[in-house]
Amino acid sequence: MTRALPKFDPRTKLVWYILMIYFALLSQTAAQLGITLLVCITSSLILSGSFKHSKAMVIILLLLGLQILIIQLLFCREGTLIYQWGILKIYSDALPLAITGILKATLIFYTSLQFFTSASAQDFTLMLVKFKIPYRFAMLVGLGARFLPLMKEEYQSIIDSQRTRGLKMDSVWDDLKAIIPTFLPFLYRAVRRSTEIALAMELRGYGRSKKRTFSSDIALKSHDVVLIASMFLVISLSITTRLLPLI
Amino acid sequence: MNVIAKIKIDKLKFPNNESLVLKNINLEINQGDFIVITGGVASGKSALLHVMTGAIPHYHNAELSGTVTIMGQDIKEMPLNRMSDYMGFMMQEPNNQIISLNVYENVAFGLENQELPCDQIDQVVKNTLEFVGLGGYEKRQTSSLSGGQAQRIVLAGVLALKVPILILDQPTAELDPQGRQEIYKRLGELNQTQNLTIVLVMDRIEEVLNYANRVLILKDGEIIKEYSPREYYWDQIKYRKKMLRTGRHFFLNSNKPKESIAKISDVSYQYNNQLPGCEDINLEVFKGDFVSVVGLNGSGKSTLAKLLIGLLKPAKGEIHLFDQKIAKRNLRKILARVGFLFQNPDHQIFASTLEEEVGFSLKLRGERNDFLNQKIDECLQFVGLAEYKEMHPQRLSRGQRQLLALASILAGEPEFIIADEPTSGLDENQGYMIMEKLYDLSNNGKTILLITHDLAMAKDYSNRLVALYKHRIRLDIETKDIERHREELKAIGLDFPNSVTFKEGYDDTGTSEV
Repeated sequence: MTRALPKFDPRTKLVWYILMIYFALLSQTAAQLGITLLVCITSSLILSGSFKHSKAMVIILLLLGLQILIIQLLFCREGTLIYQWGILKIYSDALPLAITGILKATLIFYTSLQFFTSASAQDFTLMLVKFKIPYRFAMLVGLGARFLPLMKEEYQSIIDSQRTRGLKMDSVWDDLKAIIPTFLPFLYRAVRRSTEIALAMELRGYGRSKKRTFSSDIALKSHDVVLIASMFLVISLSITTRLLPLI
Repeated sequence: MNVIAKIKIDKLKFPNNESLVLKNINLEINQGDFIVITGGVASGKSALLHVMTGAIPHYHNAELSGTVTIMGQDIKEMPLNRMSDYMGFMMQEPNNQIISLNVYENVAFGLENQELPCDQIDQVVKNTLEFVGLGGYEKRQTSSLSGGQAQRIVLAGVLALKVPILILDQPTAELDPQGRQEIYKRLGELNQTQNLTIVLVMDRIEEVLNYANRVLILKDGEIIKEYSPREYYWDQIKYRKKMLRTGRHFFLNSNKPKESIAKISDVSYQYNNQLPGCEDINLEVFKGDFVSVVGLNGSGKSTLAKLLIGLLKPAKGEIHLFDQKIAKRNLRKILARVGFLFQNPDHQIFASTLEEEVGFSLKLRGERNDFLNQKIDECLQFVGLAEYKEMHPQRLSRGQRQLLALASILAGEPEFIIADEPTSGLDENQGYMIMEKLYDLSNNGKTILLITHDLAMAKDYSNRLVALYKHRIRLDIETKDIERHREELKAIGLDFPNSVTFKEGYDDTGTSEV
């Protein structure tokens, strides 16, 4: 989603992601969450210059927000009763709690999107390798990124094929009934595909030794070190201020 | 001559399978050989390659008795992932061998496994891409490559390993004639200039004969004959002459008013990624027509077929089927009269028996059991699969699965059959088997629209030829007029082979004989 974010090492992006999640989970007020979300959005805007890629998440967040709002209105029993209609009771704290919930969900969703779209699959693999995760597992990220869209395309072809044979797929009930004629061919294809991929990889020397090189590398630069140190400092200070009153 | 590989197989058998997959194989491969292996359905071609690569017995569970040595090493003693020191293996479907998201990383994959340093990897990747004609493609996403480009990327990934032996299983099965020629030319260059040993399995081998020095024919798991390319060529000439004597002729009554089956008017379509699909297409298909739509990979053939059956909605223009404009409300009704045979039969086969598979569309229509059973028997009989009625479809060969897909479509009694490259990935016999069935259907009054890049089949079986080039219709002619339009067809990369001299220029005497 960003143009300049990839200039940072993926480990810097990971610490930023952890920091945002930490704030999202610990912040209790709408003001705190609002400020954190604003910081997160501003960072994207400064570094990429647009929200173009964030558009897709707006609808999802609206749906999620609506759900949170309805649940809070129906089940929140804190504060004073402000409205009653039969068994339906709405309390005064329902709306602030819904707003806090929506902001938390938005922050977690947005920062996750920011992290997972800011680096290439190769960068993620290299990051995991730097964390001493065996490359056989680390490379699964790249393989997943390559094959998931292919599998999706294949599933669509299977659906098209069955629809031309007269399979109805106009409603959710139709979709449920269509699972066997669409999912079974998909399963057979997936088994064939994975067998061939694994063979192709082995015959190109995959797994021949415990180590392998990569055609690119990642390295922490001075600005990464400064940023990571600063972010850890913020987290440490925050934890300390929370723990001190308990001692 | 320096023997680079010795293959001695007494027998090879897969568990739960009575018959032997390979038997009595005794083959020596010399350094610098360019061997082409061909043969019919289930003749053991791919199994032989899998034995050479060590995939059998290391990867596939099979009982192998015999010894296979590659450069003096017994493959049974060698781990599979060490075989990349001796040979590169390229399979048929490129998408199942492209491992990374971008071209550079994919070509570098094997070199990284060999633990080469970054700068060395960089140099080898760039040189190899240059060699396969894809220099400058380093940063391209593999998902955006065409079929031909993807094949070349896989080839580059294998060549980058600098192995002495190259093993190729149907490497050009999904390519158009131009793409096939390019690949064979590059392989020929490697064989000549770098003394690379090449073993290639292909079902239609005429185009590669110019570069090969040995042709092996496999039947029922045995090498039944070894030819020189010249001998094979003459054998094929005789066979084709015989075929021509039983040539096909269409007798469409030109005085009878033509009934329109499909009419495409000013249709354009663009994909979401802004790539054009079809532009300004005008085409009318009449009852009884056997129309072949030909063109290079990516020329818009499959898009046209999908537009015809409403899987894609045109951005501009109108499509009429059986005099009704295609719209969401009437699509189901119209499609009940159309049969669409997809390129890959595995996209539709799901049932646990052949009869269940064929009866699927009839069951959806709520047909009575007695009619359903009768129709299933008829359709399976027509495609020659009646004896396997209760077998699991996944036990059939690829060609037989394609016939099963055809039977499933015929069960719905379609008036108009659209077949999207139905012979792709099939051997010559299987391909002709499918085409003969389509031809019989055409003679029985069905209208056929065939999407293909097999120019010989298009010429042999259809009465009309529609050539697409860069998403537009360039030619719409009767097949009998192909000779008159040969230059125009050549200009758009469609060089129709002469039915007999399929290997023109191979030999002066050969041409005169014909």
